[in-house]
Order: sequence, then C-alpha cells, then structure tokens
Amino acid sequence: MDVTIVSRSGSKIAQVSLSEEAKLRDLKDAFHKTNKKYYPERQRFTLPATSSSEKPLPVAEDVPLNDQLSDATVVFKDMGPQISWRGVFVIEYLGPLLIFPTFLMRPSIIYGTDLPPLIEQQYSGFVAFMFHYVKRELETLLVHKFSNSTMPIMNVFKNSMYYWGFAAGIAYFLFHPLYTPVTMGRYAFCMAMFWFWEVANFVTHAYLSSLRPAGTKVRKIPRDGAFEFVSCPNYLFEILAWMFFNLFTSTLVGWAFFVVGSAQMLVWALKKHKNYQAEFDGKDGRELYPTGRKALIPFIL
Amino acid sequence: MKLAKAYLFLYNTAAAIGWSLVLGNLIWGVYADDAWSAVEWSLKISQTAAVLEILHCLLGLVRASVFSTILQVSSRIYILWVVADPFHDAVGQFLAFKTMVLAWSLTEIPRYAYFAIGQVQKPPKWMTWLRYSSFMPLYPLGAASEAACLYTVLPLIKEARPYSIYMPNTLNFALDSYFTSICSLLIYIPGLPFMYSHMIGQRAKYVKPADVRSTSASKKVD
Repeated sequence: MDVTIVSRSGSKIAQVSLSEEAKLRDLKDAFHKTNKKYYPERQRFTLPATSSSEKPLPVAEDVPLNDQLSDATVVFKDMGPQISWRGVFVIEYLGPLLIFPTFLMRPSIIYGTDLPPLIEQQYSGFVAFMFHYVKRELETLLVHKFSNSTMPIMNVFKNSMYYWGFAAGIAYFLFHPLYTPVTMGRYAFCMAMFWFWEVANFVTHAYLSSLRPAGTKVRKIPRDGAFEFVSCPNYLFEILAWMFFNLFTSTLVGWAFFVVGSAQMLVWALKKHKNYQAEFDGKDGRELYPTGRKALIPFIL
Repeated sequence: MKLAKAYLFLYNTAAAIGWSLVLGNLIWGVYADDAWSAVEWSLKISQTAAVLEILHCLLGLVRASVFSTILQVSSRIYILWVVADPFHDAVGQFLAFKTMVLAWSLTEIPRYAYFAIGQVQKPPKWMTWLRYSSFMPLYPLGAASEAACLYTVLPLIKEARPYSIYMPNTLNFALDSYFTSICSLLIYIPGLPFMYSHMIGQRAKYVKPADVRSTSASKKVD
C-alpha cells in the first residue's frame, strides 16, 4: 500500500510504499529512511482530523494501517529531539541530591552568619528527603522497566525545574534559622509512617518490575496485596509517604509540593487504570481486568 | 458537551463586556484626570475573574497551554493587586498605568469576543485576524507599561512590603513582596519573548496567509 504523509497544515511531505499488513512501526522505519533527521522516536503520526477543535487521534501501534486509514493518509508531527526516560529521570532527581546537602553544609551562603545549630527534626527531614531521591535514582537505574523509550528533550528542563525548584524551596524553609518544629509526638509518629510507606512503595516497584520480562513492553495484571483494591498502589503509597513527610516537617512549600505531586499522580493513575481496563477486556483470550479495582483510592476513585 | 459550551459562552461574553467597561471607564477617567477611581472596580473584577481560565485549562474545558495561561494571568494579577492597588494614589497618575490599562483592554475585548462567538459558530475571518494580530503592538506596549509601573513603585514596595509574611510561624513560610517584585521585573526579560513567540505560533496556526488581504506591507507568517 502507498501511504501519503502530510504535515499538520496539509502540505504533502512524503509518500512511502508499505506492505498490506504494515503497522505503525513499519511506517516509522520507512519514513526515517526518506528523512534521516526524523528518527522513529521523534515521529508522531495521527489520523487526519475530522474537526479542528478535537484533539487528533494517534495512529495505533498494533492495528494494521490498512484498518485505520480511510484514504491512506497520515498526519506527521515532529516531536523534536528526544531523550531517554532513564536519562530524564537521572537528571531531574539529581537536583534534590545536590541542593539539600548544599543547604545543610553551607547554610552561611544562604542565610548569612550567626546561625543557630540545626535540630533533630531538620536532620530527619534531610535524611528522609535524600533517601527518597537516592531510592528514585537506584530504581531508575536498576528496577524500572520502561514502556516508552524516549520523551521530548524540553521535558528535561520542565521536569527539572519542578523537582529542583521544589527541592530548593523546601530546603530553604526546612533549614531556616527560624524553623519551627512540630511536637515530639507528632514528629515521631509521622516520621515512622513516612518510612513505612516509602518501603511499601519500593516493594511495589520491585513487584511491578518482576512482572515484565527484560527488554519487553509486556503488561500483566498485578495481583495480591494492595493491587486487589487499586491499580496504582505505588502512587498511593508515595502520596502517603509525602503526606507524612510534610506532617513531620511542616513547611508550606512542602505541602504545595505534595498537592502538585499528588494531583499529577492521580492523573497518571486514572490513565493507567483506563489502559489496564482497555487492554484486559476479556476478549480474544485476554484476561478480564478485575472489576472491583479502583485507580488510586480503594473503593473511591 | 453542551453545558461546557454554554458556560464558556457566558464567561467569555461577560469578560468581553467587563473589559469594554474598563476601556470606557479609562477614557472617561483620563478625561476627568482620575484614571484609577474610574477603572478600579471594572478592572479588578474583569482581571481577577481571569483566574478561572487556569481552571478551564486544567479541567480540559479549553485547549490552551496551562503554563502560558498561568504566566499571563499571574503577571496581570500581580501588577493589579501588588503594584497598582496598594499604591494607587501614585500609580493612578502614571502615564504607564493608563497605557497599561489601554493595552490590556484593547487585547482582551477582541480575545473574549472571539472565544464567545467561537462557542456558537466559526468566527468571521476579520475577528480571527483581530484576535491574533492585536497582540503585536499591544503585548510590547502592555509589558513595557507593566514593567515601568513596577519599576517606579519598587521604592514604595521596599518601604511598605505589602502582603509579606514573616517567620517564625508553624508553616515555616516567608514571603517578601520586595523580593518577589524584583523577581517579577526580571521575569519580563524571558517572559515577553516567550509569550510573544507563543502568540506568533498561534497566529500561524489560525491566520492562514490566504486570509490576510495581500498588500506589500503584510508579512508572510511562517
């Protein structure tokens, strides 16, 4: 079949010859051959739009192109230079790991001289925050098995601004000479809870990783424990961990970080839940995704 | 969804009317030599209501960039409530204040009218052209006016520190409006080019060269 590739403004870019059973991957490889600049990870193909206000539908990966295209035309968008997911994660999590020690060890460059000594709650906050990001780096390098290989390179700046910005904001107030701690009882209980949910989150990541054979994009239905109630207990546990982090460190910036992070994780959980339900629809020999499960909050959402 | 369209139609119409009132009040206020009193309430209501637009983006009601909307709305809110309102006796006298309100209203009226009509039918070409061209002189005028007001009022902010929060407190938070004002001023340096080029990009999408009556003076938008 001959597929015509057009730009979003309608002008023809290229025409490629593919086999009748060709899928998206074949289209991308063929287009890459005609234009070396656009390696497959940079290419985005959508179906020609029916109306200008609706979001264009992406060309599906697993369905033969013949079944998706009404007039053998696809719309191309250049996603720009790409960076691997692993690469982005390593960079964005590095900021906190550099920023927190700077505030702790060289407070004079930020707050001036004549500073009171730090108190236990500030050190504990330091350890908790650092542990979280060391854990993230190690998980990125050794545990997670990514579905997508790349994302647009601009995301590095956007994501890093988020992580590095909040790390600096939380550090500034946590190590401030006028820092006011919470009561001992609240501090002890909430800190313990933070550690508990951190470990729970790690265990969940390790389990999810075990479901996917190395080098594949296979998705299996996760089972047992919290997975019987929610699709994304890893996000739930992380939200709980951060909630307790803020309950024992008590900074407004920390709470803002919690709200933004939780909102993002909620969005991801809803999407992931939908993907599970779509993939495991019980048809054609596929398992049916358990119906009682919610996305993030047991019995609720 | 019909309810969303109805709501957006009402919101955008109300906003267009609000900003028309601002413009009318401004003209009267300049004539009567009391610009601030004339525009104060229509401006405060119309501009502060724009915070809703961030929500519209987040909820997916509107297909616009969350980041550029937050940048746009927060800079306006800051200028209005931290710079102009606390020091309105001084600011109301500035030429830059008047050019600022002029630039704001002249950009917003076509913009909201365009969105309102757009809920019902495809807007006429001249409206599209106006909405995607008025920013060209008005963004620089508006931004320069905002920056001028901010810069001039800095010594007053340093003295009064409106809305500032001090430590110690249980939420371990502090805010110094003098510091944030200097940061806001600096943000204009990357901010204006970013917003301007964002609009240029939008213009390229919505105003096709064929729509623009070709004269030797019209620029080809790429």
